[in-house]
Amino acid sequence: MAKKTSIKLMDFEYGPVRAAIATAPTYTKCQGLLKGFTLSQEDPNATKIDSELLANPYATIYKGTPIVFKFELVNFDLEDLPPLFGGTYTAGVAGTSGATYDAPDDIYTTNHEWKVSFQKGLDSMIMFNGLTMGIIKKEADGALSYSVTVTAETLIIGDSKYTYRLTDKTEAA
Amino acid sequence: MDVSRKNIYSYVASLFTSITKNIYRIKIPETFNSDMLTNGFILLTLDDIKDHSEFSLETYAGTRMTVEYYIPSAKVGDVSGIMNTTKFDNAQQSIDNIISAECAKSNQTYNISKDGILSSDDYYSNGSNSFFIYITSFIIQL
Repeated sequence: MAKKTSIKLMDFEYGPVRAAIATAPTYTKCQGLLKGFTLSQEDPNATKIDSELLANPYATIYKGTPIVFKFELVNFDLEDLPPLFGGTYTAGVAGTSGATYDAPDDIYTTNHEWKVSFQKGLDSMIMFNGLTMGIIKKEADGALSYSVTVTAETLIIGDSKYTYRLTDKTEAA
Repeated sequence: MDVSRKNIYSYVASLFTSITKNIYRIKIPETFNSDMLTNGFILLTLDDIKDHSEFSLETYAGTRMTVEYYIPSAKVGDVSGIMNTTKFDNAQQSIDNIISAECAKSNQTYNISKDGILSSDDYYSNGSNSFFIYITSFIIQL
């Protein structure tokens, strides 16, 4: 395989957490994001073990931290909100009233599979089991938005554990 | 989202047709007709459009439109330096009223807002013709 640089998001989608690793869910596009989408993973926690008695006196044990997606969602349909952030959607009545969304009384988390597709380079990155949480905000001169944090949790299917997967574009036959 | 610059120019020009029919974009025309010399003209200039989306044009974009109204200078009687300010005042009031009325509308194709601090004036001479210029601007969200 050729080496390549992956840059510029093309699609950002979510779907239900998959039950079988070979079966991808049906995705819903989530595109109305402000500039500044980030994917990050903090440095792992390191525990240093110093011992006078061991043959190797210095040892370090690393414990990883989850991957996190952060983004600001500003262009959305009220109908899109309950599957992501909980709460209740009520459709409007034509000519009488607009649709409403009643938020839950506290932070509500959901788990979704999230997929980021790149315009150049690799095809996509999938986070199999993302703990999804959103808070509403509006910054100076900005739009009303949901500040969303998606934190990777482990997907366990049988004896296998999955966190994220990078997929290359399909080569021409 | 309609980010076509020509459409934005047309939209803004359509706001000011009640003031003058002499509305130009980007640059001052090379030759002036008699109506321009008598009643003045408007010049519109649009800044760069800034898109705030991670995915192109999925959220919102903003830009600033500058409106310059060139008003022919007229002196009072035969005394140079004392300006006949009536035309200038009327032009300024008309432009401000139109912008304010447009700012009050909601959910239009283009939503405009006035920040109020960026209005100014200037002076322009072309041969024997001189103009006093009222300059104002507003933000267009699209």
